[in-house]
Amino acid sequence: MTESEGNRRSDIAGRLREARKLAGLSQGHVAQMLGLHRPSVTEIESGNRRVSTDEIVKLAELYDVSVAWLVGDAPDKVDQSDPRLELAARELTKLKGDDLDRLLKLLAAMRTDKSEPADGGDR
Amino acid sequence: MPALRPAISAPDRRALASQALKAAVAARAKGGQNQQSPICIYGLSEALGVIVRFNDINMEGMYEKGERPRIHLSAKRPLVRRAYNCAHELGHHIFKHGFSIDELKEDARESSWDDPKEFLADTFAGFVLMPIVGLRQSFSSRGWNPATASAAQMYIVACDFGVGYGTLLTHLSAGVGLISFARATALRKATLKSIRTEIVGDAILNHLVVADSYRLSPVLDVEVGMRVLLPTGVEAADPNLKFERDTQTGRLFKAERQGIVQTVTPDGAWANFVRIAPKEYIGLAQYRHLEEDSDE
Repeated sequence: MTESEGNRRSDIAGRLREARKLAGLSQGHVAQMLGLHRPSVTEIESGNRRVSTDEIVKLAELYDVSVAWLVGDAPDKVDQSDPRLELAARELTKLKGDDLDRLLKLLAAMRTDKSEPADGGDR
Repeated sequence: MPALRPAISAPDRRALASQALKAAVAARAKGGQNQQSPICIYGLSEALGVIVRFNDINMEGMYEKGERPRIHLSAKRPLVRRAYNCAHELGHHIFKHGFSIDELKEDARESSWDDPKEFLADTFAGFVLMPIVGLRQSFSSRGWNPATASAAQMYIVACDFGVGYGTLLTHLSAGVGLISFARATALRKATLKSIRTEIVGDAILNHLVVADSYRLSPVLDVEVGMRVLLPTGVEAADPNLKFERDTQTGRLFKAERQGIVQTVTPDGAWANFVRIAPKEYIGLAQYRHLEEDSDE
């Protein structure tokens, strides 16, 4: 494995861990839901085990995040001027800068398409 | 300085409220719910194709329009507030509201309190969570009259519908007219601490959910650390809901760990499921009651 492959795997592992926590699941829950051994989930999230395309798609679905975001092909933060972003938020202007920033990052991770292709293609 | 948007007129408010009521009835029907029982608003949202997520951002709630619509709620708000915020955001979904961030900023500069869209979403939230038929049933089954009900009685009805005490008073007075504004104002003077003390006999610092033998809903949602007062004699099938003590008005339990616990009287005449979420749970609403993973 080259250094860049290692970095990419590590990045994906980090996002998988973040997405799982954002979904409210433990590693044990994920293992149970996907029929994996618990250590397999730990290894995936440590970047020590290669995660297949099929697994990425299943994990993205389970966590309600976009495949493109998981594999690093989508921006980390939603562009505020993106016309596709349509919200109803009564207190948006009252959000502190840091909170708005975190919200835009959260939105960037989410799936936006019912039939999102495995190679991403959303925001 | 830009001119403030004029306040919504009384006829306009009545028209919007009528629109909200019709939408609430339709939403319940479409989600497979009857028109009187308390509902789990997260379950209804999911049944209507809206994903519900909790985050730890300091906000009330937000609706994200799209092919996969979502409601984002802050776990930093009290449990009953989260439920109301979810109903409000579901209202935005039903009425197809959705604006760019720039539009929202521009709109907020003009006015935020007299926005018809927000009034519509708020009114929808009241009607979908607290249908008038269910409210009447909740009072009458206990032999109570909304017009004369005490603060403690109002609190128990609020628990029935999973809403806050103040939210119930607002809906009873401004939404369905079952009590006068003067009565609502008088009842607001009672503190939650004094009401809880009256119900259980001493001060309960954490939030208390009361489910008496007349409770309409078969499920009761709490989070770890909250107290639950159940009818006398009820036993919990799982230590995730820990018995604390008997009181004059029922048995007091504490939610210890996440999961779903069956509670039942020895004769089986009364049963309920207490669904316990982690305290200030962050994640998808659908996973909030999963049993804790002991290896984590």
